[in-house]
Amino acid sequence: MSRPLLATAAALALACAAAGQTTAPATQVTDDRLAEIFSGEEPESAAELAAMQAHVQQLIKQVLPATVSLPGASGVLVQRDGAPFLLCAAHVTLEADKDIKIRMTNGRQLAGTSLGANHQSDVSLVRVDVDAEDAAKLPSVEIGKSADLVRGQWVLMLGHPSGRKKGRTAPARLGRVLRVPEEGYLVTDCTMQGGDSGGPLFDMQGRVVGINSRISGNLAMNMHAPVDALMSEWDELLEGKVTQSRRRRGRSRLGFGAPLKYGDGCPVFEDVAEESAAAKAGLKKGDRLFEIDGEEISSRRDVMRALRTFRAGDKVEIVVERDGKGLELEIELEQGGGR
Amino acid sequence: MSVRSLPAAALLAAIPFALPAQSIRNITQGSAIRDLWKPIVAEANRSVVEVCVNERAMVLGTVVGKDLVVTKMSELTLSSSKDNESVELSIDQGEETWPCVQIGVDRAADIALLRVTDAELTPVRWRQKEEPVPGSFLASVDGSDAPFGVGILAAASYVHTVPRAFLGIRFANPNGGTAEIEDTVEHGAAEAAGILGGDVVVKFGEAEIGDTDSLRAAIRACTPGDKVSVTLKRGEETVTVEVVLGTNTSPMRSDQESVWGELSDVRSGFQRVLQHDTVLKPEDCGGPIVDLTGAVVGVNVARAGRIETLALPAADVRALVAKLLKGAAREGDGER
Repeated sequence: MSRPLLATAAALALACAAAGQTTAPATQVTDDRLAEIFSGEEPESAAELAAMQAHVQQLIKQVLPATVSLPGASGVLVQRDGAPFLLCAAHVTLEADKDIKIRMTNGRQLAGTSLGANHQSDVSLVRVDVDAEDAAKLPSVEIGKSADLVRGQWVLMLGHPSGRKKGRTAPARLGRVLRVPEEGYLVTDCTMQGGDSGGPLFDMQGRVVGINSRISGNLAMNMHAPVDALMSEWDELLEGKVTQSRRRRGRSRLGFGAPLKYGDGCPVFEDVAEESAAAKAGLKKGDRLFEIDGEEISSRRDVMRALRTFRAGDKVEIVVERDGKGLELEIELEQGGGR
Repeated sequence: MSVRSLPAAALLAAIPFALPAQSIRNITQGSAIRDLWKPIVAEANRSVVEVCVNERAMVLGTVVGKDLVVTKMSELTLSSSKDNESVELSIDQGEETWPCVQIGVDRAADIALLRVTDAELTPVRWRQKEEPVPGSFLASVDGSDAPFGVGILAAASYVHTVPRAFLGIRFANPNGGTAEIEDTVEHGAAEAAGILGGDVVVKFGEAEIGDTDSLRAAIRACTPGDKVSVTLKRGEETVTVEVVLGTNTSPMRSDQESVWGELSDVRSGFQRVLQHDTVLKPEDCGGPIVDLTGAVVGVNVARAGRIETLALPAADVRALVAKLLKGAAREGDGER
């Protein structure tokens, strides 16, 4: 299952903060070979690993000042039309016109006000309340295009797992793109955990391309809202528009679009209608459901748990047994689909 | 993705052929990258051992002297060690096995120092330069050709807050009065030890307990992971139980566990730590982490979160070993 990434329980204050430099212009990857590697070609020597390392070290230094913490969550500072804003996740800020406490890497605290949020894409915008002179001094990062992401390219993620910790700068995670937004959602293997929510995902030039959103039981399943979802709605978010998630109506009824029969052990797909999502995913009548997203399944409760924070339209990996063999399939979840 | 939970062996064999190319799995730690690390980690691989309790491999260890190994102390506890059975420690490296004895422990760091009998081991080559900066590439090794995990340093070393020990109870008389237990915290230390609501604590370790305050003070004097003998009045009976004290964070919520995987039992209170983004299993701790020059920058000490992997920095491990050796010398040849 997937779950949002707020620091849990006694939500620890988390903040990130910036060390006082202003703009962070995109760091060009000038070396052609390095550019090839960062866009997905495998490195071939220890020297190439060292070149990658040097770039990543530099990149973290560049983006750390603009990566901030909110209580139990994370965010990143950007500038637009001369004004500072914080990009964040909808499940962090929740609604408009709330006071948001922002903490920079250098310890400085900023006051912010939440603007709009889109709970479907899980993006939100926060206005940073500082005077114009101060605003120009705030660190910020450039905004990239998530539509340009390709599978396999390298990315860097920052956030505050478990919330901000004294003396610890926002831990960086290096990873690669496993799913691009057109495939339903942006997934990387930058491992996240509660507290990383709202934190930035960067390309290797240091441009924000995603906002940390959700995880699942599979450690490689780290979902980010694509930054394009935020930028395409900028004006609405600026006006404080809050779009609710459609899933409120019946998340518990999310399913595979094919009825499951429960008994002892694994449930069995009783019937798989032609043209259904289940049929398109390759499921057949009689398949026994072993695993959903890495979680073993033996009861209806297990299915509900595993699907808890997925949404309609998400693709989830399942393992079924057919004729004594295991098959891994990917299936798109449906609202109200049989289970 | 996980295939290990499938019950039938035949099924396990069948799965890899069926895995679709787009399967969600970590590729950053993929074999192409790990293969490049092979020559770099070859040297450190000579200095990593498996530490065994009664011939069962429990955790990794790092060779810090010709006959000295450090490892993660709390992983050496056998789950069945309640009955005071004799504990034989040994280390394995490749095909060879040597007996060893524990000559010192540091509870806060959760490190045990072992002296190996009749061995000529190869100590690690520590990184001499300043500590690595965030973004530095790191590999965790276990003696196999390729590292079992690769990642980056996530943050510069920082001081991990020192945790308090928790018994995992609610007091019946929190504002003073007899040290009666109202009830136990779910998944807490007291519950695990079989302490019940209504029990009255009369002795905690060596301390006689007369009231709630004296019990609080006795718990405060302990460190998470300490094993304490607790005597209770249960109705007319007197009962003594062994409690392994926890931290307030240790009762992991089951829903969290299901998305995080297994964490180290002892995962806080280490003083200074290096945090990196390699996903380890608790039993993968105790071994060295290596930088791109092959030097050892620290010893993995805990999986503290879904992605909070902690290591003790090289300088701190060396200082700790020196301190423990001094202590062992003072006690004669202090075996435990």
